[in-house]
Amino acid sequence: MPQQNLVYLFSAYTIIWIVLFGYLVFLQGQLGDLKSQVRALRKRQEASKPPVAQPVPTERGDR
Amino acid sequence: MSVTSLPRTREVDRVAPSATPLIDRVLQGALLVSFLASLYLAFIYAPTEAVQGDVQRIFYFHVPMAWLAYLSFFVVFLGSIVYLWKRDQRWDIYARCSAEIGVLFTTLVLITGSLWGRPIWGTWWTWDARLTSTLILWAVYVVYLMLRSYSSDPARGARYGAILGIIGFADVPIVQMSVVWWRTLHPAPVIQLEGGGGMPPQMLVALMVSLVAFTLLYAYLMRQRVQIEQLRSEIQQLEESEG
Amino acid sequence: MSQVSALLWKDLVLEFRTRELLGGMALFSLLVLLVFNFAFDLRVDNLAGVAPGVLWVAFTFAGVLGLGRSFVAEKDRGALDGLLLAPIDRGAIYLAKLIANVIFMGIVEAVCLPVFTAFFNYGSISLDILVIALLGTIGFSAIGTLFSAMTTNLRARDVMLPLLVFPICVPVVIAAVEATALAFSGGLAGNQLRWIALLAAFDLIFGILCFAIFEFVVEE
Repeated sequence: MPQQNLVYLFSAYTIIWIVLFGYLVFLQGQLGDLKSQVRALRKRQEASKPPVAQPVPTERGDR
Repeated sequence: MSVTSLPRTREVDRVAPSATPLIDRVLQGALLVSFLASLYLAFIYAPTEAVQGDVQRIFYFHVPMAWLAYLSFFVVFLGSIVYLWKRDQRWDIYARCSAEIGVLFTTLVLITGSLWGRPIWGTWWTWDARLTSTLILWAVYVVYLMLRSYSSDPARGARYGAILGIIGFADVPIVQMSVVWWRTLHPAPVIQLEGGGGMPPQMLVALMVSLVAFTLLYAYLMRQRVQIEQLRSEIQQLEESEG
Repeated sequence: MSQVSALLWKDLVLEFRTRELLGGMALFSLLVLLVFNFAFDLRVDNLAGVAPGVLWVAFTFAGVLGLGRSFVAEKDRGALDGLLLAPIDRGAIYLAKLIANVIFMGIVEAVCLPVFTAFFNYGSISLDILVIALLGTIGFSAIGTLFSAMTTNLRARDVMLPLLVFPICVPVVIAAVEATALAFSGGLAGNQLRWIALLAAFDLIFGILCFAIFEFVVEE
């Protein structure tokens, strides 16, 4: 009876959701980590530079 | 690598790290809407198929993912060609990210195809033309990802990847043809999974909306994944300049 | 042209001096036949379906073995750099290697096929088979030579080469096996011709493509 096959239908969609959502969350996480790494590296570089008058991109959270 | 060849990180990202660029917000919204719509269309709006029953509804996600997989690998192909021609690292990044997303979609196509086939054919796998050529496609691009990981020198990895990206995609039509001939000259019990010519319009609508949803998903995933590679590249540069 | 023949001659001479690789490849192909004998328990009834595949597994597995070694000699002795520094067409290097590989694989097949017909009491050595074997070998080697040059520089070189070659060469394997099956069983000539045409098309397309792309592999 076709109705008993619903378990296959739902497992297929569930797997799709889990995998795609999982991948999305994973990517978001990686992005966040990398962005903060970049910020940290930039701050370190800014700090170790000798003070020179230059237009500094406002990165210190002026916004 | 000089700074001028670094792929441009968006100015917005640098200035306000926590704000999401407008286009990503738009994509997220569009994704939500289109996926909700396609779920509704696939489960409620589309009529139940006469022979297969409700299991057939897997079709509405299975087929678009297959199409998107082919699109992703085409992007790998294009990116590979342009990279070999121009040696612009951005194109290598596009190729590599698209391959990863393509493998993801292809894996899901295989899994959902198997889950669909089990109740219909009574078996988890069958060597019909479409499943077989999808499996080969999957294998080629999994090897692509391995090739990229196993290259210790990134420039060489990019070059080798580009070569495989071109040859692999050039092979796709030939693989398709040979597998189809193999199956026609050696017929195995094959039941048409797809609706074919006699698809009622509601099914077509559900399919098309789902296709739109997945295309948007591809675009969004690409943006995220490419940005990750660009940030990695930037980090490497920053670390190198610190010495 | 003369570059190709000079390079080709060098490779052939090098191999024929020791014959290590050829001997190993040939013996390996026979061992594959042996293993398949146990794997399948080939009785007469299922022989026709299985035998052509067994033959081509023997050919391709031995072939991959040989392909894996085709650039190793150059890499180990740094000779590849020497070749690249000399004013030689990159394409000529590829062609010479390709022809050498086809010859080596062909020799192995020439040993394996008669033994196959004896072991399994099946199959024949006809013009059809020779054409199919040649076309299949060219296609397989065209892809294999390119990827062999590529994998020589990789860490996991022995694993990567079969992984690269086999999925891409699926059409070659399908066409060769099907055509061989028809040649052995005297099946429809039309179908056999179709598979041979596919082999020829593959050889042409990928021969040219790999030839053109080879320079990107060896540029350093």
